[in-house]
Amino acid sequence: MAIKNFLEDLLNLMGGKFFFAVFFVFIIVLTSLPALSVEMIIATVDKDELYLGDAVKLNLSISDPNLKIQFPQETSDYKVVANSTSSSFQIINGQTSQNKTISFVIQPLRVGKIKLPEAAAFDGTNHYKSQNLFITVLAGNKNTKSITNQAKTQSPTVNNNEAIRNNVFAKVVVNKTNPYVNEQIHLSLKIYHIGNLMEMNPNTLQLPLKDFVRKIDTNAKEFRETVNGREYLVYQLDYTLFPLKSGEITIPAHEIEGVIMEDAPLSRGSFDPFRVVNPFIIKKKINFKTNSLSITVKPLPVAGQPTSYSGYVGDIAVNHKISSYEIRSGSAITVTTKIYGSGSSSIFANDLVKESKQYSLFKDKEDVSEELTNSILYFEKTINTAIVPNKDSGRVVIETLPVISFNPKTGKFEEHGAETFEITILPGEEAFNSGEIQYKPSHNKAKKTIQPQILNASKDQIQDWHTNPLKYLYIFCLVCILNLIYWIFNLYNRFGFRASSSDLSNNKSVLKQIKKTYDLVELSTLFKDFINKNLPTEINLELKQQIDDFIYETDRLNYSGDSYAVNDLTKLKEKASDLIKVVIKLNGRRD
Amino acid sequence: MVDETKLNLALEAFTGEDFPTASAVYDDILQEDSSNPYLLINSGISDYKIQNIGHALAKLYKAKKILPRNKTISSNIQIIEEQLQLNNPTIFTLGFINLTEAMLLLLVFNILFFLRNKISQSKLIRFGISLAFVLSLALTAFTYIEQKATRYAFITNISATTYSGNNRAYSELYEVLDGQMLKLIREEADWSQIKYDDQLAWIENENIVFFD
Repeated sequence: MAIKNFLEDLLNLMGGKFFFAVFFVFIIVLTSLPALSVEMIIATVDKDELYLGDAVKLNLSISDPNLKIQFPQETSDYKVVANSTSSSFQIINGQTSQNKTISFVIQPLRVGKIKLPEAAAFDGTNHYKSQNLFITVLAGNKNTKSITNQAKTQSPTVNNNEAIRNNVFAKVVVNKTNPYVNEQIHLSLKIYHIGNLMEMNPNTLQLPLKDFVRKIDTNAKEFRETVNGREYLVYQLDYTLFPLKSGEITIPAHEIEGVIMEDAPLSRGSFDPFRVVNPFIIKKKINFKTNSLSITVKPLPVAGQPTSYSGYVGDIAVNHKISSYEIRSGSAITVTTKIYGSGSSSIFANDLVKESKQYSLFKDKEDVSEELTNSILYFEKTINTAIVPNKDSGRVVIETLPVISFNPKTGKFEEHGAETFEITILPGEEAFNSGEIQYKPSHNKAKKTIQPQILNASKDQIQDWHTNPLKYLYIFCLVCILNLIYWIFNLYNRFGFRASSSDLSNNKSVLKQIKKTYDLVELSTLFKDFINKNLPTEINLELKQQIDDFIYETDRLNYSGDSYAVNDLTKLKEKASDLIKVVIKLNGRRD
Repeated sequence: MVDETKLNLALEAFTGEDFPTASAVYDDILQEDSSNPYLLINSGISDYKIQNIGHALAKLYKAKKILPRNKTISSNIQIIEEQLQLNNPTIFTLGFINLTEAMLLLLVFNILFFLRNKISQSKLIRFGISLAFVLSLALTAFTYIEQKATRYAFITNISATTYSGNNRAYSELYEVLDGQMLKLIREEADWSQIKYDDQLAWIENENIVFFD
């Protein structure tokens, strides 16, 4: 509106002379343009297309060496790595001119088309600006450019019609759709465009891969590929994946945000600063989706699975090296273990040297490096284990533990790297030698060395030795026989005691007979028989006297022929019984 | 009788530090006279010199069973076990008595026990004889259990692995080293059940030598 008003005012001023007015405006523009433009600061770059990670040199040339150039601050698109200043003089047709060139080395921070901002200067009166410059930053590096036209025959599965219309589409492909759990698979996210894709939102380039252990190759590739007869530029991001579970895993379609360039519509819309540079092109935000992908993950076989298997799947090579086979007591040796493989390096058990009482283990930190070769991620893991033998001399066997892997090509479990190293421990320089033991009492500062020797037997000792004819078994038999005899003797005695018991029963019958009898002669006979059989040799005189008195009394009565009162006979029977009981008691004590 | 020619050969090899030859010849002589303790000493030392620790200790311990108070044998065993830092269990009676001597002692006190009433009327002396008999009986039993009833073996490999069962499919338990003494619990054709540090385990017979 302001320009329109200005032109109308101008036409009025010129009295309607339109052509004159147009001419006047043209002259004004021509004369004022140098002051508004960038004639005083000329910006050039040494290249307008480069790879992410490379640098571009921006030269700002000014004719007034006193002019100070303000270069805008670094942005998220680029950073200034270095700058330098140089001056030059020129003499042309006798006239001297001076030029000053300021160089900035700029490193882009993202892929896509990057606008280098204008450099500004002010000499106190006029403002000067450099012209806008654009550089194209490609993903990957120069080497990856050689990987071109791969998978040309593959036809992308595009599910986004608008993306096709924009000539931008994406797809994900995997090198294996039927892997085992933990087996490495390679996934590529490929974004096709015809050079019109300016930017991509890096956050949208992260695929949702929750059922995998994933590793992203940070070096993206960029190459050309022909699809359906049309050549595309391909931006490829590589993922190395290890499935975490068996069964069907679906990688869903994933939306990516980007900005493309496209031709400006014929009808002019609102003011767009981009059009100042190129009025025929506009920027446009687009969203496009990858295809979804299903992977059927096979479980690892349970049959034949070793108990110490930790889950590693893939190729593997294990190599152990020992630093020395002969060491001094107290010194350490190192076992260096190198593992190369295509599986997941984090799955291994930490201990690769078997623990033993023979030595102590001291594990050093691990060193892991990875390299992507032919779309397969290989790792190399180096582990150093220091070993200090616990012996002062002799031999020590160091065993390394086998690393068990599952080979998906053969479908079998394999063992790698089980090795045995036998090392010899030499006594320390200050320690004993050939059987000498050095004792180091802690309380005694002076070393006291006792030298007990390994002693062997002399020839005479060997020859003079005669095996002892006394065998412990013979002596044992002798002891047994002796004891047998002793106990037989004891049993005999016991048997004899039983005989007395038999007599005792006889004695009881004698007592009964005495009790029953009413004949003095019979009483006397029974009593005398008993006394004759059972009277002990050692008997006290009083008892002897009583027995003799009783026998005398009964004999006297028998010989006298006196009638004997029943009462008197009863008394005699009681007396006989009492004496017999005393004798029996005495015999019992004696036994 | 020891073959003198072989013995001279073994002694010469030993003196000339040709220990493998000495060990082989001594083993040959031991086939004929396996209970000669001095022969066992020299054979054991030859084995030790060629680092057959388990065999060496088995022979020295066997010699010690015959001559329990022999200082040469005890010293040799002590030196080997200390140098190799072996912590073998102590067979208590091997320090002072063998089974034959214990049996003789028992016999004497047994006879005295039978005759105690005839020897003395003193109750104290009779009690002393009875007590001595009981103690000699206990000592004999203890010596028999230690030296005859309990069987031991020595590890002959530098190290050997023990298992929870009698084949390698069982889980590994612990490691035993050359020269270590194990208590045998059960013997089978190829495997033996052992006890070490109060832990039961199985070991292959090829890793051990029995100590009779």
